[in-house]
Amino acid sequence: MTGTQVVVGVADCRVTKDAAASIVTYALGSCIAVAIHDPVTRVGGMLHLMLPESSLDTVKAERNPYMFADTGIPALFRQAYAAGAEKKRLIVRIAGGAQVMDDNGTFNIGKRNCLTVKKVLWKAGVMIHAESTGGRDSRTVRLEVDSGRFLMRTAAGPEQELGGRISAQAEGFVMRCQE
Amino acid sequence: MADLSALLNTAAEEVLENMFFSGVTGELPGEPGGDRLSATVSFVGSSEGELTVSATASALSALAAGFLGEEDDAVSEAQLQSVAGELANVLCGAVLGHLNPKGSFRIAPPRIAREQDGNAIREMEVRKLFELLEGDLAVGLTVH
Amino acid sequence: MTSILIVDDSSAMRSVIKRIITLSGFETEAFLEACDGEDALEVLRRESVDLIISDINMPRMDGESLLREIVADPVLREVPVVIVSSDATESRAGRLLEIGASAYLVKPFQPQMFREKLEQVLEAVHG
Repeated sequence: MTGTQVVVGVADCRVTKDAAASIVTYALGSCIAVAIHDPVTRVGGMLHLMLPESSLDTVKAERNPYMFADTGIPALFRQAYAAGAEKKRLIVRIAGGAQVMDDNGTFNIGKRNCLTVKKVLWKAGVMIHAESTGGRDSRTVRLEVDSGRFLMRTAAGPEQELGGRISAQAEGFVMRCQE
Repeated sequence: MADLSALLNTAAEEVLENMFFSGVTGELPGEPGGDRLSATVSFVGSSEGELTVSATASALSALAAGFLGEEDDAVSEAQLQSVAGELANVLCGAVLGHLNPKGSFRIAPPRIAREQDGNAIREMEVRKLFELLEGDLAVGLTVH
Repeated sequence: MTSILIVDDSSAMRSVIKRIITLSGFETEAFLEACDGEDALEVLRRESVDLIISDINMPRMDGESLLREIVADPVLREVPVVIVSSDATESRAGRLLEIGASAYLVKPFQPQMFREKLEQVLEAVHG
């Protein structure tokens, strides 16, 4: 593989404008990766979060906001804006939230992470372009900074692209009245 | 009876997860307590009956904030009532869709009321007290 | 000039639909709202719109009756109608699509599901 690999660890976040870079995070399990990309300024960012709400452990959240969805996601976006991304242009994709342990409860941490991520994004006024969440497979994902392509693989299968098609409305549209 | 209970569980999960970004973490024993806001919808068609939801203002505020995309403390009373009504409506539709997908139904507009200690659902056939992250949600269902 | 009419007796639901459309980047000059079918027809007598999004179960006139009025009108029938309803039965969906709805989306839905449905409808209209 050519180009720089920017690795995002667990409870970690990276933003870059390096056109030769791929931002990658491994073995998501019940964690969630939030990947964002501005196709105009080609700023790419990725957050690998572990838990939903920082109220679960405010001391840890203080030390590392990337651990939680409600502190990590705003931090990711702020860093992207600082690098030249614009909110309304950002393509946002999420992956992870698998149920990795045999669990009697229906409300496992993977699902809870997924719901909290969606709630945080919705409240922040950001739409999700593509997602691959739930199930039991642990996912590895990467974001190509130059192209904005978001690719995913699991132990089960080959790498696949998520949310490849950006529709016409992402460029803006105007509907004409029928005369 | 068992069917309706399981149906309510499934429908509640579907509705809360998809439109409220919330979820059922368990079921609580006993009766709902405190001052609550309730929303009731009646339905006719292949079956007839009523569905009621009831929650405290604080639980409903948090749920409404998730639904609307607002911060928890930014929800007005009017929005609270509208969200409660829509929750009852959508939950009822989900229950009926599972109960009889090949049937046909009309759901009446929601009736909002203030109530206490679960009075709103006390007389209903199936009663649930769902535990949510936001608090608890009482649901009552009667199918005639 | 993009004008969208949202018909639903729940003001919270109308607000959510507006939010999804705005956040999705659809250029919308005006959002018009109505609380039921009768209200909607009154709005449509005064204003021309490019898209109608309607609930079914509403007071006074429901979404199915509204749709029938729309397709019976030589001008209004050209406006795409997206039905958004808690009614999950097959018969209702089938009937409304047959009458002339461009799409039928069942509540509850996640924001991106609504956006995708809208994109499909608009691409079909343009295509």
